[in-house]
Amino acid sequence: MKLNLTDEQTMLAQSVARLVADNSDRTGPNGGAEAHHDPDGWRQIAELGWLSAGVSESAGGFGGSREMAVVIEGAASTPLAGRLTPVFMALNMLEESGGAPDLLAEIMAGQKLACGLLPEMASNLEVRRTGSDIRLSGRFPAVAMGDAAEVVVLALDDITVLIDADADGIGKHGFRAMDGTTQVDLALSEMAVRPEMILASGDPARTVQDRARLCHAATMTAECTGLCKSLFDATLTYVKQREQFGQPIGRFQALQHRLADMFIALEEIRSLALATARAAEEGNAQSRPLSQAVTGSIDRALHIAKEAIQLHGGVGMTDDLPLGAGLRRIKMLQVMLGGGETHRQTLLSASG
Amino acid sequence: MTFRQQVRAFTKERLPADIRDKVMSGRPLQRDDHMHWQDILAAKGWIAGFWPKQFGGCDWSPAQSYIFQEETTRAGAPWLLPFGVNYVGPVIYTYGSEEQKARHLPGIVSNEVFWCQGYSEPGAGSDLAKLSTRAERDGDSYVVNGAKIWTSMAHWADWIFALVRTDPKVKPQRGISFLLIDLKSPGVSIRPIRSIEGAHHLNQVFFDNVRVPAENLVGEENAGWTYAKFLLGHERVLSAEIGKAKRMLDRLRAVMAERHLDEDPHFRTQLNKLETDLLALEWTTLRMLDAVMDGSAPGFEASILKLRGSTIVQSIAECTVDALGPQAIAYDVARLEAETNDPAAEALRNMGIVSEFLFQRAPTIWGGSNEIQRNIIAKHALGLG
Ligand SMILES: Cc1cc2nc3c(=O)[nH]c(=O)nc-3n(C[C@H](O)[C@H](O)[C@H](O)COP(=O)(O)OP(=O)(O)OC[C@H]3O[C@@H](n4cnc5c(N)ncnc54)[C@H](O)[C@@H]3O)c2cc1C
Repeated sequence: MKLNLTDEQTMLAQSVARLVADNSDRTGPNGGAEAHHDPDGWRQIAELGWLSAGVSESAGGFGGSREMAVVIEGAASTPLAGRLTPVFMALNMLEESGGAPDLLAEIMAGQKLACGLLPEMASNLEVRRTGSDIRLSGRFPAVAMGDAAEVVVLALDDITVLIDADADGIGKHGFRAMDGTTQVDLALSEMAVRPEMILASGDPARTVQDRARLCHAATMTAECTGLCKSLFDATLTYVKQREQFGQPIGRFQALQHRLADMFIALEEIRSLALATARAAEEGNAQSRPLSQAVTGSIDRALHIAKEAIQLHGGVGMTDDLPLGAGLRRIKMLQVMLGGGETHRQTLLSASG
Repeated sequence: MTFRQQVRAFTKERLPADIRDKVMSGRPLQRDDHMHWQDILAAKGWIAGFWPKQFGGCDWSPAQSYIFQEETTRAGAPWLLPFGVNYVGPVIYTYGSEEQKARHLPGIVSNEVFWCQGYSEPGAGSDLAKLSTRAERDGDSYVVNGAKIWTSMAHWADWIFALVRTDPKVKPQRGISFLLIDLKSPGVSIRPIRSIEGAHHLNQVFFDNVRVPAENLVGEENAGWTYAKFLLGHERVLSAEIGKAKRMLDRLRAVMAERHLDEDPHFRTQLNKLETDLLALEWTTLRMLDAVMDGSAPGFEASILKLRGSTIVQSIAECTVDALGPQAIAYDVARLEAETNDPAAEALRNMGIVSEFLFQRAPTIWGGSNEIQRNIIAKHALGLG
């Protein structure tokens, strides 16, 4: 089992790091305020191959789950990570279903925007069938990329549905979220699912859903990894440089232990992220370890974000540093439907 | 009526509903909100209840102060801004000149003068004694140069009480003085700092050749550290905000009920723990009050209250966001600050809860961080220094 990155994956990571650094003025904490979709930036990302990273070679991409995780991890300190996730999900779902190869290519090329959704991201999702007529109702209260996506791919238990984002029966309401991004409250009311919208049904649809879940878990754990790496690095640098009582505060043993615990938490997040990326690679959608990895990394990430703020003292409370933005983003990963809290519920329930 | 009943009845009757709603939902208060409520207290003569009668107080015992704080905050009253009443006022009536008492105490008791606290500097936070804002004597005034930071509400304030360095050659603690500075003085400038919940309450205050009349020196030159420590003691005694924690627990229970989490094992466990922590804190506070009243409390006990008080409130705030779940996602500071106060507006309440969660990261940092409190306990209470 290969656990470390391959040379190609390392190069991809470097390319992501370079772009993020070059755009640090736009992607920093206040870049979170850059709420709307930026088509030029998106095309650039597509040209660099980031979007193909989530798709296997056989389907025209160049990667898989590990590559996707590399991209998300690298982009994690920017609002991009949250926008890439739904697109990666859509790509994974389309590839798995084999249903719309042209669309897949267009999305990879950055020409079209799609957003992948799972039922656990919705409240009151209802599939009503009367004969061959299928109608969808329900609300997805926070859809990243929902403002810009032209199509939505929804992986239900027994059908995978491709939905035109402007179709009848879809209501969209944009709002500003805790992490500074624009999210869309997407409501389906009695939306008709016509036969040509169904990309997969029966067992294949189940497989699409499994893959979407794996993909989502892999992106969340990768995002925790990347975010926490930057929060941890910033804190480590700070305690070495900030002096109080005539010495760097990092010399105080009380703080050394705190840093040591943050470091351990970060290492464990990396482990959980790797476990998830591997499960995704192998298509192993066993739900318990997946939910453990998501809740485990979000809990650890929260710990790291709070400690990062505390150990920075007053500066930690300012929006000039990306620490608060990190805490807000991680909290959002925890409370959003399909996020940490949902996975915690899964672990509590007998079926989980 | 007992004192507790009096405070409860008064708050119920006089606390304006719009202010209460803002506080209850955790939304940021504006200067007017604070001043409005404090005017009401001032009119009743309750703004500085624990002060001696001769200076405009009511001679409240520590127990009465505690009851007052608990009853008002639990009912949704704003945090009584401590800068004048709790901090600089007692320093002035304890160490100030007769002229200073006459000039500055009435403005605090009548709520006409808004004070802020100029202690921390970019280079001097936990190690406050290393502060470097200079005050040089020149004739009958001091000339002040330097910068303060994290000065809460300086942009709303009329005056700042500042620790300044008057003797750079001696041991740091020995060369500090306590100066009262009119913020309208030429050479003072204030830069806003946005905090992580997006609000503006923090500031940096710059002094560029600011002339301060020498009569604004409190007590003796170079003895400011003694007054500063006296004040920090006052800061910590009130730091366990039991009433506020109770109010926040009420809201957590309400959110849990709304979201059908009453029976959720995770949230039940969390709630039980928070309630238990609060019970322990409440009785620790009462024990310490008892000791203070007997005149026997060693200073370090305030550290326990500060430590536990700050973390409990922090945990309740976070748990409430968790209970809100996806409803905590929408967050828009501009809306939170601008929109009118409609208690029915659930979205605004939810944003208030998020705002409070973020802001509540601060109490473990300010007023002597929790790490510093642990150092104090280890060193002074346990003799491990
Ligand atoms: C919201 C807010 C409002 C504030 N309002 C005011 C105000 O109105 N007026 C004012 O004067 N100040 C105010 N402060 C400042 C506050 O008192 C300082 O932030 C605090 O004293 C910590 O100082 P610092 O920020 O420089 O952090 P530092 O002292 O640099 O501390 C950084 C980290 O190191 C830790 N640390 C430092 N020394 C030690 C040690 N010896 N052992 C172990 N750990 C250590 C600290 O606990 C902290 O975690 C406010 C702060 C905040 C966040």
